[in-house]
Amino acid sequence: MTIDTNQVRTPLREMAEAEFEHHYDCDRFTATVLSNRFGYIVEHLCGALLTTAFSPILRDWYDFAATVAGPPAEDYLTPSLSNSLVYHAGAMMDAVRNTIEEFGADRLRPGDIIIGNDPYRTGTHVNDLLLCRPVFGDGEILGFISITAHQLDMGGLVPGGFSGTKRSVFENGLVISPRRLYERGEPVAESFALILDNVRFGGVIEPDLRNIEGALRLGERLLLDTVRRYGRGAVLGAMRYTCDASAERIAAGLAALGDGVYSGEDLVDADGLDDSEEYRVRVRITKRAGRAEVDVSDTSRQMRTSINSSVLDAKTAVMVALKYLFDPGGSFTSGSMRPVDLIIPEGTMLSALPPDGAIFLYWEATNALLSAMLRALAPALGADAIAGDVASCNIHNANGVLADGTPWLSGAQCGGEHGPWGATRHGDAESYMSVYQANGLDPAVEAIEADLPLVLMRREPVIDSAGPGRNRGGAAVLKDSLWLVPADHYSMPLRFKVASGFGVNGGSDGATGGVWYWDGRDGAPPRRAVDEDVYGDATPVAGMLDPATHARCRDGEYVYFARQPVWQTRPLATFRYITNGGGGWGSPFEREPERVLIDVRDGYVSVDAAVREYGVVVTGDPETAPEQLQIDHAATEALRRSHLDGPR
Amino acid sequence: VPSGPITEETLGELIGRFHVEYERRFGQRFEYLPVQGVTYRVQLIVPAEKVNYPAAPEADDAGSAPAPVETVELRHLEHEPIATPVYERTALRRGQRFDGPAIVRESLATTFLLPGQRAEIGPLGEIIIATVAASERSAA
Repeated sequence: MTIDTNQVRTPLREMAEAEFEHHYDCDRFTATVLSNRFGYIVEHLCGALLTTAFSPILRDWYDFAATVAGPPAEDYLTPSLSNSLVYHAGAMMDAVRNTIEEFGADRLRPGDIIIGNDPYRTGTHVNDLLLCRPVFGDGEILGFISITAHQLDMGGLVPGGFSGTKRSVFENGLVISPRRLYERGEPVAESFALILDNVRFGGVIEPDLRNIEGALRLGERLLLDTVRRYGRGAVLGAMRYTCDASAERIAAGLAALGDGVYSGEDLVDADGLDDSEEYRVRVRITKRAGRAEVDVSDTSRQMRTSINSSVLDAKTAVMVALKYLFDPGGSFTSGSMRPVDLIIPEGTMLSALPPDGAIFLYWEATNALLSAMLRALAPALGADAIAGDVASCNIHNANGVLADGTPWLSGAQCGGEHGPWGATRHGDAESYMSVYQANGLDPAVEAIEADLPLVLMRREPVIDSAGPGRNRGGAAVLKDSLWLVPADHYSMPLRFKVASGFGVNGGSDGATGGVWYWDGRDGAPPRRAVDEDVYGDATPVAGMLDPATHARCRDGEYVYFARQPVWQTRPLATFRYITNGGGGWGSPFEREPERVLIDVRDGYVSVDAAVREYGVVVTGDPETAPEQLQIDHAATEALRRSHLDGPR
Repeated sequence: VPSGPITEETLGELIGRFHVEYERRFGQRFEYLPVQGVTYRVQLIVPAEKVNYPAAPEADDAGSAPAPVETVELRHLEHEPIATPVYERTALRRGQRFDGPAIVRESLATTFLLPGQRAEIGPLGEIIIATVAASERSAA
């Protein structure tokens, strides 16, 4: 490995004004203004699409992202990514280049939109359609405005596509090689027909494609307006400046960490074929000065079903880990990865190949990579480490047909799609978030119930599930959905074997979750949410569960989610998801007793767990007299002292 | 919405106008998609008797506070719990005056006074709430 520690360039902060202008064709102030302007452009056009989208996955989940990218001559550098789905944004930096290079930049004309959705070329999965609009000024390409947006369906075996059980690209969905969707501002009929002839729910997808075209047109207008006001040289210079700044900040963060080799691993419980094989991501980070090499060569082979990711998604996870740890306040750009080399052989679960290495639940594979990165660096970072999150999106999809023949589809609404984060030095973690790499919206209960034959019965934090710590992890989320009509369900929880919410800096792990269902009216859901004795008559779907009671149990048996690819239920079935809990930060025995008391009052920590995990003795009954709870300070002090003296 | 009675024709006109306005705002026209009315704002004009405002009975003890029906403890407003008087709205008389924190209960509503606010009962039984300067606050 060669490590280039001789940075020839003067750091940006120390650069004299003349040198700055030489590099960036504008002054420092203009570069900063334009850098913010690129961010404004992507947020503005995302706002336009969010307002107009018909599909619930765009409208309610924000499952799309936008970028501004530079021209081919500047290697498609990407100074701004929208603050929406990070998975998309990361892959788009390469997807735009790959798509335009394959199509041919010299064939582009003003008003064209080029599309593509092949995961091996553009990252993520086939439902994520990239729409890429070249922006011309004086006959030359100034750059590209692009949106990748999740389409409700892209064909294939499974309605909506979400499934970890598809075995090849042929089962997965329609693959679209780079081509025009619009030519000189006019829709290309044969491209629309190619899509609409191969997908379900075309009545939603067609108007959404037109809405995306409208949003791209808005982005084009904003970029052209920027060039008119500041000049082409300044705009391109500011793109280079923005990317250089993020490269420099990541390098500075790496430089502050001690040199060394750091290893970590995490796993996906199983693929969708059977549970004979675990899939491990193993990462080895070699850090020297301001550079790092991330080697994932020892990672498991590609899965036999559609839970793999492409190389582009692996790259996103590496970048997100470094951004979280070393540059939380900066911009995420195509410069962020510059100080890092990623070594990844072909055919792993993070670099799957067609036709057998099917890619759909790509985030499950790359979330394990993000976990492995955070685990690897946690010991070296100490107090700056970040604890583990819910990690799996625990996607639940269901579909069926109403009595009048109308098909319906619930996509990523009723499982454990949102859950806790891990704690940091800054405080306790939130309990109801997108996983670290997603940053989507949470679909509104009212919208789900208005559109679909189901009712959401419960959505609440689970007591004693959060990883204890001086700062506590977020609590696991329990969600009950009641299905009013017969339904086919696909359940995709992938991180129950090991606590994904790992503790850091002396903090403890969060609990692991589970999935169950009670079928039909006879199996009406139990009234009390948190009792562990209600699962005896439930069908366990996934989790580390007690074989007799089906309750969650760390030493229990692994229950495999795909032992049935499709779970078919009668009317009035209830599905229950409990996610993993987030990890804690710092020793729980150093948490202020007053903060433990508040957690007991609020139902995050039980009276027993306050003693066991935190060494804090709380007297009173949180259920009947929450305001009368008291700390027994003498008993707490004695308990904490004895904990310091001997092992727990 | 076109003026006059709502008929099949005026509904058609309404939907036509919606598509025009939608295209003006978002640059697209989706005439083949059904239009769903989600928010309705309706204005009704109904002849009614003149409203009569009877004067509230005068207090014997104008300027002082009425007798509270009970005292409760407020938590989480400040660091320490605060003892707070509760008044019954129907028992209030014109000219009475009291300082927050205070709670006024009536059958369909509750009025809450923060510390530093003063209530005075007006001629029609209305509660006039004003912020008082710290120097003017009564020791009670």
